[in-house]
Amino acid sequence: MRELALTGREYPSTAGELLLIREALDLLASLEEPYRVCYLLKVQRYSYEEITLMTGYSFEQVKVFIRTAHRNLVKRFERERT
Amino acid sequence: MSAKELRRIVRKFRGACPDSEALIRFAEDSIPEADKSRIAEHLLVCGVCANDVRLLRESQNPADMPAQIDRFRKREIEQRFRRFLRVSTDPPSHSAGRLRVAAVAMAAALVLFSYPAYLGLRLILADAAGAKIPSNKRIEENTGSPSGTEIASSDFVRFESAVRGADPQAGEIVIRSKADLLGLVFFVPIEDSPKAHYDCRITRGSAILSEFRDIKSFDGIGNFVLTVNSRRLPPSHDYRLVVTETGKSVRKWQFPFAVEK
Repeated sequence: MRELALTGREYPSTAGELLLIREALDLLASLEEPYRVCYLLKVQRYSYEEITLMTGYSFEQVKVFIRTAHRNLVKRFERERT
Repeated sequence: MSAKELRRIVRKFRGACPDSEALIRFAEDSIPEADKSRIAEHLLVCGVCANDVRLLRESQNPADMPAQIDRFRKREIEQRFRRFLRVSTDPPSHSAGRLRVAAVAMAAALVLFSYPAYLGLRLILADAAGAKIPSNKRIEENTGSPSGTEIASSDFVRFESAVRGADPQAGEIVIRSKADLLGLVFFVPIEDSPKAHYDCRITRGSAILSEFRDIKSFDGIGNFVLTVNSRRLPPSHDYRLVVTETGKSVRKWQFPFAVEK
């Protein structure tokens, strides 16, 4: 499990949240860089066009990166539940 | 944990972005260990910073660059970006030597004296108390500068006091430029005694896109120059340049602006 350097942050406030964040960071860390970068930019509410401009990837690549990242994360959630 | 929950955590845990200089040092692997783990964690949840670090690293390893990035001369752009970030966020240090001092002088001269926008600001200074606000839509673009750097300069409106928001008469500042770097030129009356510190951040809605801490790129009156990577600013009408002065007291200025491509 990843060690967190949480100095100076207000969040998390409980052990349960800390565990949740560790889990989330591990899941994100397991994604390859282009997938993670594009997925995070999408989570940060950038549009596909904006992500294309910011990253230099083509529009099609951005779509593939985001969809694949999302699919992989959903798969991992299901695996962890079982 | 659901995908929705992951998104919530990412948004909540992200916190403030590290300044550009810290990202550069991180990409170069020349940052202290304590800061390194903090930034590494931030990069796991912040796409904007992760993308910047990725581009900076690719500029150091051109062989790893995807073809489309090569097409956009990404390496060259990023090298310029790095050079300008150092100029705009850091005072020249003794260790950096004369080249750095020359770069600061050149950039300052280039931006401060080449653009008519700057001359507009000087007009205000002649009558700072009740001066009419100049055109805030004046966008100058210079793609043929002596240094060969594609940089656009945007002249922001000054604000009269810390409590005043955007001037309703002023309209919206719109930046239309295809330049790699944007030189954001703005004026806030500086507190010279005791000496104050100036932090800037660029926000879009509630998100902080860039932070510049303790910036030094201003003259003795308060003409500031901030150089930012235009890739960080996709088209939107929801941007704000927020300047915070920390001295005798804390004062804030806000400059709303829009970016169109």
